[in-house]
Amino acid sequence: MLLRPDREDLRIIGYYVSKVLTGVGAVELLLALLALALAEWNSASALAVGAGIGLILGRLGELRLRTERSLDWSHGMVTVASAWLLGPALLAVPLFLSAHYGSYVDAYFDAMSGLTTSGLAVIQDLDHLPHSMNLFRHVMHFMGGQGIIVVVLTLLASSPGQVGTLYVGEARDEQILPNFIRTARFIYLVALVFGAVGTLALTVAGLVAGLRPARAIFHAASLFMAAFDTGGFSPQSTSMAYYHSVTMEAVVSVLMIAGSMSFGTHYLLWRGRARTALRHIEVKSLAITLAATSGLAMIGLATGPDVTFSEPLALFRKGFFTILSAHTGTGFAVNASRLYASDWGLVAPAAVVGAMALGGMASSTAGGIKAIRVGLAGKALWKDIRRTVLPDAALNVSTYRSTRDNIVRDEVVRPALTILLLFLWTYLLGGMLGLYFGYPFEEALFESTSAAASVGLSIGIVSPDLELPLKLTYIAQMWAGRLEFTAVFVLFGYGFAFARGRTRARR
Amino acid sequence: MLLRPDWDDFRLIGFHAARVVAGLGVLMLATAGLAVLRGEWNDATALGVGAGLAVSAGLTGTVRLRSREHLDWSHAMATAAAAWLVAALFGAVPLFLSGHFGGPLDAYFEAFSGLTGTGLTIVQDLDHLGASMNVWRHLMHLVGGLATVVVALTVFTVGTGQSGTFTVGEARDDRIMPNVPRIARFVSKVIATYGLLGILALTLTTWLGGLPPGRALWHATLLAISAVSTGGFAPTSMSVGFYHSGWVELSLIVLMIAGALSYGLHYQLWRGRRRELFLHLETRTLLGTFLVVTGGAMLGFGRSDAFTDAAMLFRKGFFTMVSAHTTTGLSVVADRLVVTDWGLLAPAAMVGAMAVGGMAGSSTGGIKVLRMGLVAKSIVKDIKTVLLPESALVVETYHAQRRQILRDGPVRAAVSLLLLGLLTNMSGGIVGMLLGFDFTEALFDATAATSNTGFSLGVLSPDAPAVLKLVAIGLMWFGRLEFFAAFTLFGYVIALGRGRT
Amino acid sequence: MSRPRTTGPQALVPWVVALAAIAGAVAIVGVVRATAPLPTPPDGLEVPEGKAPGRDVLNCERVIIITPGEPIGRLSSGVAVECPDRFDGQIVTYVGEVVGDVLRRSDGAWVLMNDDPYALEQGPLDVTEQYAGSNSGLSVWLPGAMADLPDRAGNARWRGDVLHVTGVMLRSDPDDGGGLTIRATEARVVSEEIPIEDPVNVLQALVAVGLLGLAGALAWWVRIRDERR
Repeated sequence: MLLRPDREDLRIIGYYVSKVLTGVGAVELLLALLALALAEWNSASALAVGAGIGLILGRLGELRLRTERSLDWSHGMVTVASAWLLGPALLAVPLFLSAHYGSYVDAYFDAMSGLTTSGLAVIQDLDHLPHSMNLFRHVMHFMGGQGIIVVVLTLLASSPGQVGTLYVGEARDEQILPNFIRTARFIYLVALVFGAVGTLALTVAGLVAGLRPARAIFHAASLFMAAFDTGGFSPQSTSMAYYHSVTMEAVVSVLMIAGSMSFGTHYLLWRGRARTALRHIEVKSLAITLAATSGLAMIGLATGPDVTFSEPLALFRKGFFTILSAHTGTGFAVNASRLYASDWGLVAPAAVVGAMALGGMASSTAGGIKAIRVGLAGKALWKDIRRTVLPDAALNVSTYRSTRDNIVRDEVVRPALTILLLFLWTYLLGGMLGLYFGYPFEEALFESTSAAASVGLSIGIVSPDLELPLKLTYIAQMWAGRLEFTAVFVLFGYGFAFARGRTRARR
Repeated sequence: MLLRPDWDDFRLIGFHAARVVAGLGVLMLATAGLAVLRGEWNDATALGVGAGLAVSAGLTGTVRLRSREHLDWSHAMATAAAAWLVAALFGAVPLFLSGHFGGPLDAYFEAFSGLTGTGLTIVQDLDHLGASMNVWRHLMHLVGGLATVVVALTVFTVGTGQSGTFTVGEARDDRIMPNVPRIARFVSKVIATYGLLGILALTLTTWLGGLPPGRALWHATLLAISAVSTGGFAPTSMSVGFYHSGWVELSLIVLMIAGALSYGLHYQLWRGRRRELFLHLETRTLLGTFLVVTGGAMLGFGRSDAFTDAAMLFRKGFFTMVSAHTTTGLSVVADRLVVTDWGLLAPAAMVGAMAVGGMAGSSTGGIKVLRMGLVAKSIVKDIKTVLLPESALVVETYHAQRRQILRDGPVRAAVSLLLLGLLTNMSGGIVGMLLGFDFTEALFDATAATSNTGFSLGVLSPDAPAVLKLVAIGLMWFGRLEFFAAFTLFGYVIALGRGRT
Repeated sequence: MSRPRTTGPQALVPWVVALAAIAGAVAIVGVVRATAPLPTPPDGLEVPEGKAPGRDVLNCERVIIITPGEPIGRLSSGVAVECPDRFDGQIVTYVGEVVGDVLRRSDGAWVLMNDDPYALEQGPLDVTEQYAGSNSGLSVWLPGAMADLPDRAGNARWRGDVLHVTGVMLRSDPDDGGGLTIRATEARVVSEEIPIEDPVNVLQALVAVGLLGLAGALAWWVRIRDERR
């Protein structure tokens, strides 16, 4: 039934994965130079070791596996899934050598968390980490968020026209511009503009908040990458609570929202078509779920036997910010992790879990189910319900609006609902595994959702002392959730076909 | 857009609901006769009052609303939705009069739980309840189970992603009413066969377990009814833990599994097509999900040190998982022990098992394995589509009576229902949490209610707030009607206010 | 277009080469990491008196914080976030290392004070190489002149000033948008800043230079080869 992949297939995949490794190595080399400039010698050599390994393996692979054959659909998927497994392995090398991680698995955990723009961290003594290594963590967010594949391959590929399939594998299925390269260029443009404006704004806000100029720039650059790529790492151990600054929280909020918007929406806004953007099903769906979850969180925080926050400003700065951070899949925290369990009651953390599970828009760096699927699921359910009421002979047609009006069709809804369901199961399954290790269900579910939706908020389970099987589970969840399962399944399917499939007929 | 239902529509729904009520009244009358025979005078009068009310109301409705209108699909859905709500009202009358319930709402809850085959119970002092009243509780399971199967095989076959029934492949209209008697006859035959065998086996085993023959027969009858209709009520407050007999438990396991098989499958087996049992998508999926959840539970048991040897694991763990997966709810340990002694993973596995449930076209609740199977198949299809050359046409098939091609429509409907099930369970848990219960425990009980399983961790007790009891009734109703029939009834009400004539 | 399939042992060669390359990389990293020189802890890393209660709190009602010789017990950040209600509005003592930055505002300064083992008992990770989990600390507001007490915050090069503050713990500080803070009323420096000597890992540096050299040579060779074609 299935065809066994032959050497040519593996060669293509290996070739493109090698290119990714080269790209990762190049980035590590840049950071090593920065470390040299800062006179952080051990960080410089640690990053250089990573860079050396990446460049050598990548270059050798490229050389040995050079091919002119074009990528087909399954190659793209397998390449992406493997690159997202091997990339973190390489990124983990400098982290591991920095000696701030208890084991290589811990370093790999943070590298996967960084690349998938999650933000869960098991780093030890972050507050004494050298600057260059700290910046490197945030650059991982940037690489993952902007899509290492897209970035690396458009820069390095000999024939960039083939990269389109990879782009889809990274769960950015919407090609906004007719030409893939132009799409990629637009992505860079958006990142560049937001980067310049965002970093400047954060630097100024940081100065006002009391940071010294050099430190303000460092914090601003790190925070920008973590916020715009909906990552969630932060330069200090207390995340956004470190700054005690409304202005910085506001700027970061804007960046998080920008990061969770699809590039299609960015494009519409860019072209001044705000009205069209606002009528888009994704925007509406996101607005509704954001309002619902933040409303629920506010109610939970402001009422009940133990009122957590009574001040409107506190409700907004803690409650709304956290929900926004959760819903956009960022994972910045404004309070200590354990407070969700010990001080937030039950309803507010439940709302946070809901927001994390839903996630941002498709074709963005946000994780989770994604607004378009939630919107389609809502439309489809409503259609089903209406079906039961209409007379037997009536035509039951339901429409939704993207950039134009579309009819809700089974073949569109089915994959959306399937992915939605897979996300829900992944959240629950991770939660169940947490139960096995004796964590309360609510907390295990919180953490599992945070990992699978690549958010990064933690209720305190993720720590360097976390049990190894759970670390591995969260790694797998971050990986599968970021790639929205399809590429992962295809990788497994490929392995299966390799073991069992028929060989290709001779051509 | 929506058509406003006119008087004829409601007349039709009322007519059929009235027939159901009248039938229930006759059954109540029979139970009253039993009470008279046993000299339980107060129970006899209580049942008599209920029977009188039900029969007179039912007959009045039948006569006044008599209609020869064609019963179309949405009528049938609405009728089912309404019938359960109304029938439980009459079924609750004798329960309330028995004095074993804290109030009318409690009695209604119990009757609803009985008629939906749920088995959650908030009776007070069950162990001193009159025998005939106890029989009535279980008879509600029997009628409820029968009705569930018939409705599932006739009404729910359309649109909700079901197959594997008698009617697959036939034209859609005109198949509701004509099919009902035929199907009802067959279902009764199957239930009677398993029931009688079960009564025989259980009488023997409970007798060997130390009961006097008369009591053994009584216990056996009630247990067999509860198990075959995947209900969950039991004659005593200790449920199956009362009997301390591995053989009783084994007999019940067989009966519960029989009850969880789709009656479409029973039909095939009846006609000697045993191969169907191994080929059918549902059987395979059931086996798969059962292995997964039981495996999870066993891991949990191992972790919590609740049981130390294989016999304990089988008699407590395995039995409980069968009871949960078939959405029966007969239990072998005290409710709270699940929380206090079973660790965390085993109860979670129970929730999973209940949520999945048995086969479509049976009296089980939950999402149904057929839907799980369809979704799994569809994911496999998606993967194959990517893996195969772009020109290849991917066709995925599954076996349900015959080889069928996997199409988007049924899969989408199945996924919708899975999703609704998850959301309903979650929101039930959240309501419980808002009322001050532990979220996980509330989730457990909400899942039990939605999947019509009789397990409880004690959230749903006689002392539960009235809101929670109402919510639980709603969940049982939703779950039993597989959501959409409930929506139909809502739709009728909304359309009445808003629709065009 | 497809070449005849290579069969037999030759087909395994590329796999073996690839595996060997990866194994080599793993071995290099492993060896480098394992042979990192152990730094010697600097003098003056003194442990402040009294150990605060740990993080494993089961019952907040039972937490009692007593430090001999002090009227008010010393609070740990772990207990504070585990039992915020218990200490809301209470006067507490807190000891910790100032890390990151001193956020100076017009009327005082915000500091993050860590009381984890890296800050107090054992010293920064780079100094001891002993793993003790994530950082843990509390936000402290130092009003007025107290803001000038810390002159260096901890980072990779310094163990920052260790402060001893007495103040009111607020579960939800209205002036900080609801954050959990300590508003200091008294503060003193327990231990001045200490530079962290992280000796250069020579082996790691050599390996880095070697690997980069190899990578450079490879790149150069590829270029030459491509030009010749």
